[in-house]
Amino acid sequence: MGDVLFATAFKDEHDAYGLALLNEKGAIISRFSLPARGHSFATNGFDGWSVVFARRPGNFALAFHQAAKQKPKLFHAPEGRHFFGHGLFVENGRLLLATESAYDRGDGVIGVYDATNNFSRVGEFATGGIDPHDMEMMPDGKTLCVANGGILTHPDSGRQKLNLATMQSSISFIDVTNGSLIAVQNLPAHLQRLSLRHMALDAEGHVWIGGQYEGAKTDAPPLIARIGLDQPLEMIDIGFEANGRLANYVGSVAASRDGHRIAFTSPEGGAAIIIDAKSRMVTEKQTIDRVCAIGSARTQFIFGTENGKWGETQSNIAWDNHSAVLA
Amino acid sequence: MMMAFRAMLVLTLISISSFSAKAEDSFKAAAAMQSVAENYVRPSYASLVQSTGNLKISIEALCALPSVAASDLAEQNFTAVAINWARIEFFRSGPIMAQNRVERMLFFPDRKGTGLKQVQALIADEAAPAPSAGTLAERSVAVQGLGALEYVLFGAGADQLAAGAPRRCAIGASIAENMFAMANELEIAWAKGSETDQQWAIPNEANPFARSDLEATNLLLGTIIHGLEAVRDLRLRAIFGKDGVADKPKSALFWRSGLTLKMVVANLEGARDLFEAASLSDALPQAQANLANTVRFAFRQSIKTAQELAGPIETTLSDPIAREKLAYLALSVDQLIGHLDQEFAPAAGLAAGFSFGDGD
Repeated sequence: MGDVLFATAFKDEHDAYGLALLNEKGAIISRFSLPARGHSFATNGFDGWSVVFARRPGNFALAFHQAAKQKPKLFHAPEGRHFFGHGLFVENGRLLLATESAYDRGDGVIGVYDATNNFSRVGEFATGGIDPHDMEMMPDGKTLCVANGGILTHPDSGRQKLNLATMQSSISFIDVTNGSLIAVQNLPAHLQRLSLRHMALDAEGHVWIGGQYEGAKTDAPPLIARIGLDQPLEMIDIGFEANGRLANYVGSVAASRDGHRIAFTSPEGGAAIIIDAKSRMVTEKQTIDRVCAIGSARTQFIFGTENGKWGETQSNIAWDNHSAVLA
Repeated sequence: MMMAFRAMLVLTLISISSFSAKAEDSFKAAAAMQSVAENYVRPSYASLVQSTGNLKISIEALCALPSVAASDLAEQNFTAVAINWARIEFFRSGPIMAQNRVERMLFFPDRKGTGLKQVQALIADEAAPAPSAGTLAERSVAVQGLGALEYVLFGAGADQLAAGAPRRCAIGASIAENMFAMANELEIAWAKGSETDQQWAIPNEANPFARSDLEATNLLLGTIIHGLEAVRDLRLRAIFGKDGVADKPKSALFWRSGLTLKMVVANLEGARDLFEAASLSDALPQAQANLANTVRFAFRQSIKTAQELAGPIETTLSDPIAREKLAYLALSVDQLIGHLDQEFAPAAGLAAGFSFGDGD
């Protein structure tokens, strides 16, 4: 059984942005340069391709080959669209889906790219909300679950949030076979300032979602939600102390390899929380300064920080928000 | 209920933990937080109370006895409120973040012209009574605050106010009264010894604003950087056309009243005042103490440039030399952000550029 290989975006000691492939011990196996800050990944694509996306409002993506069989391919979102940083492969890796903004309308879309044809763009469909961020494919293999963060931005205004007083986050289910919207579930009015952004699928087919709160720091809203194809969106009470550790900001969510445990990190709170998916109980709380990236190793989670820690290994590289398992 | 419970618990925990916290660990950050409350937040909100009060009275007087002089006075008082607001606009901690107060004080940018359409409809709807301040507070944020009032006082048809435009004037008075009420709420909430003041004052594990000295530094520096980014992105760069598209003076904040760049001056001065009130220079190690002066110099340069441009934005953009200077101002603010984010932050023990998580 070989090493688990992770991909994580980074900024190095010379302020250069890139993508690193690293093992469980934090040893960098290879690295690729990026034109700007990267964010998250789509893995297990056609012919061994994986893709890293630009952080919003960037419009580049880099397809890379972990075995370095082929040169990386840089491609872009089309005019009038930018990436939100997350994506996944469908159709046995032949199609790449990416969350995007149709920013002149403000609507969220899923961009569709052909992995067998140099990642050329072949279509898009609506997400039923604005600011789509992370997404997961449901166990039926055809229903996409998308977190619409609800925050309006526009590249002309940088990363400024333009609609906090009226924002509305939601979870959409979309049939990827025809792009039709199956259902949209909104958050209740008292959580109007909660932006649902990151998600992970558990062993029983439930999607666990982490939110970021855009209201007062003195509020203590629930930040974690769960939804299923046959289960409504529900907020999960993890207790006052654990919730406080997340400091109103979940930066990343990941499931363990067996899908029985879900990890949530907060760079704002310097905390990692692990929940047992079946009992919904918090089983572990760790204090880790500026943590965000989560690597799902064989039996445990490995956490990456912007202060350069990957697990117990310290480097002079700032690890970015997310990590993906490549092998 | 959820919020009240947390507030109560936090206060309890603060009082318990204050006995166990090591004073020397939190002294500097606590002093900085308290100084910010004392020397920046409270004076700023006090000025806002005074100026919104003056504005309310002057518009009520204009409504009661319309004249050119009364109209001019209302406009002057609008300017005073706008400038006072700009000085603390980007301080996004505490009760300003509750009840949509930020947007109810100023709804901007209004990309789809929502506010404009709603205010125009409100003025035109002669059949309905003019909304009271209380009624207005429950309505869309787009018909409240400085953006709506600017249209009432400076928009199409505002010249009728001096001759008597009862409905328009009454709407203006309600908007001003609503802002006066919010300013009072903010002043009371931040009063010395108040719940917010106590929560804010001492970084510790139970403090929702900052649980450690480092988090306090992060919060204060992050507030300044985020504010400057908003000035750069929403108030300066957004005005310029690019890729062959013409400039967009009418997308500028307060283009009708000619206050666009005066607001930028006040935003920058407010950020500088926060930097000084927090004594952030003390967060630097001795060997890098000169970075504080670099930041101060960059503030001076940006403020000076903005002051030199403080005319109507349409005039500025139509004059090639002034336009170039405006572009320089955006660059100057960008460089100031770079000094704070890339040099000051790491020197103060924070991660450069990565420390200010904002929605990803």
